[in-house]
Amino acid sequence: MTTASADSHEQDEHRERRELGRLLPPPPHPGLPPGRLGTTREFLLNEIDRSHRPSAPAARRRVRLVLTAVAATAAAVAVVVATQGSGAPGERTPPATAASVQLLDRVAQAAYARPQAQPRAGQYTYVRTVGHSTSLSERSDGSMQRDTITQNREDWTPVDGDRPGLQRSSGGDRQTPALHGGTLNSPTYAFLAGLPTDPQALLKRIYADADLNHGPGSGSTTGPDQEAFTTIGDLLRSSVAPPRVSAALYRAAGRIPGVVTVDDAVDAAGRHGVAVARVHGGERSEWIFDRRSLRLLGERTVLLEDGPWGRAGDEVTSIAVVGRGIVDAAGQTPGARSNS
Amino acid sequence: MESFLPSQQNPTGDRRAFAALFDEHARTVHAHAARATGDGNTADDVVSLTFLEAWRLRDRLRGDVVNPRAWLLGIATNVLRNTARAARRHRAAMSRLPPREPVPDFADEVVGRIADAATAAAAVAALGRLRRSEREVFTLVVWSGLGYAEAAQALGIPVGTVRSRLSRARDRLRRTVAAQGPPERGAREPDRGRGHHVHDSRSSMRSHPGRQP
Repeated sequence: MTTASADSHEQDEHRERRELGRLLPPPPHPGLPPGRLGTTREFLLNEIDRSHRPSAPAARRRVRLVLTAVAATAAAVAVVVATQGSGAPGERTPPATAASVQLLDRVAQAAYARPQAQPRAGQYTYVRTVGHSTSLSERSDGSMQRDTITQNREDWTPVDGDRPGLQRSSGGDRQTPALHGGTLNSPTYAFLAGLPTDPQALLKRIYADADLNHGPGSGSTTGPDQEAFTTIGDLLRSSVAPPRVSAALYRAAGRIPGVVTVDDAVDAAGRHGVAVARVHGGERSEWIFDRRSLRLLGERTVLLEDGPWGRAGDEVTSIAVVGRGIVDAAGQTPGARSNS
Repeated sequence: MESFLPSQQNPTGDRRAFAALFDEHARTVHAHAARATGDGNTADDVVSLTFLEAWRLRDRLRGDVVNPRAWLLGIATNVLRNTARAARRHRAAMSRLPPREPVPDFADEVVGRIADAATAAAAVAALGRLRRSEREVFTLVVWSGLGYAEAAQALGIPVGTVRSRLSRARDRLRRTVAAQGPPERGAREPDRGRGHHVHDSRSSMRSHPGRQP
């Protein structure tokens, strides 16, 4: 690599780099409090030691067994939900059940028809959720401690992502970084409004993202189907989207293999409803809808087997949407009537 | 070819080599994440997730990886692209992350830092005008100092693509500068935080998978 052309490439590179650096210089590194990386280092080495300890092979084994686990889960769905003819662990997860496709279609129609103001530039989307999630931590004797963490909060997100947002919880207020263009994982209203409204095209877009981190060869135990289901669930629960996009998201979910229905589910606010669900890795994630209005009430994840996260039947996460709307300023809440 | 882990799997040797890797590159990864996000707390989590991923993928350090700094910054780029998912993948580990004193937001720190905070915020805002693919190449090359070939390696793309993305980034930034002038110190109002809060992403990363803000 010492040819003349490599040298001139190098010079070009230096020149371009300098020019780019002048256009947008590197901001100062905020710096690290002393000992900060030491804590992280210790944490990582502990994790490495755990992965070598014979007592903690489960997580690692799961990575290697991911393919068989998916097949086994598929079989479990067929047994538990008893809608599929084939009980044998096949190569592929069965398609979404007819009942779930139908329910999602009705939910989509309702979402499409529900009046929703079109936000103006400069406004904020508002979502208020209540509920809990679960955390695991290790005690000094090596046993695991399980804690329930309250997840009550309010989020204000600028429609255009051009400014920071606000998050309010019992811990106080926190400014959230501006989302700019937005992504599938940190969407703004403007971003969602730009998504395809054809369910198939939308699903393709979501899978492209899911495959990136959870596709073949990624070593992921989540897998693209579950990831797509989770992504759509997150979008529907924690953001405000134009009705046509919400409708497309529901219909797209009906094209994900392994989607089923649950007759009765209860959200974190104690409201009962009917649910669309997907079983993965011994857990069932449910999107719960009001039977009459077909509005999304909330989402929860229920364990189907005993394990470190709890016993079969326990809820590991349950988040109910209790307020949603469009407001003029961060910190403002919509009137009760825009609570959809 | 240099191998950054012992060529044979060996728990003690792997652990030692990995600790050395952390000592050499953790600060670089932290600076990269802090600049890209303008948020020191997020950067902490990005460091943890990047090295958890690196450990998961460590077999590549036995031969494939020629430049561990570029490799780690490539992993960090993936984590930044999708922090929520990286956190889900390592949720059990992240749930064991010991509680830390929250790093105060830029604006909560001493007065001299407020200008830095504004510069960082303005830079992140300017960065937001680039496409993600341009932004990733730009921060790796211009802010974190990777060569074109290293950035190509980090992102798994051809060097020509690095060049073309940088050139598009340059055009876009030039237009912005022409329209608005260069980013100034203190161009943006810093966050006047009401107190010190643990960055919320941590609590959701450490808990059962949920959505990140």
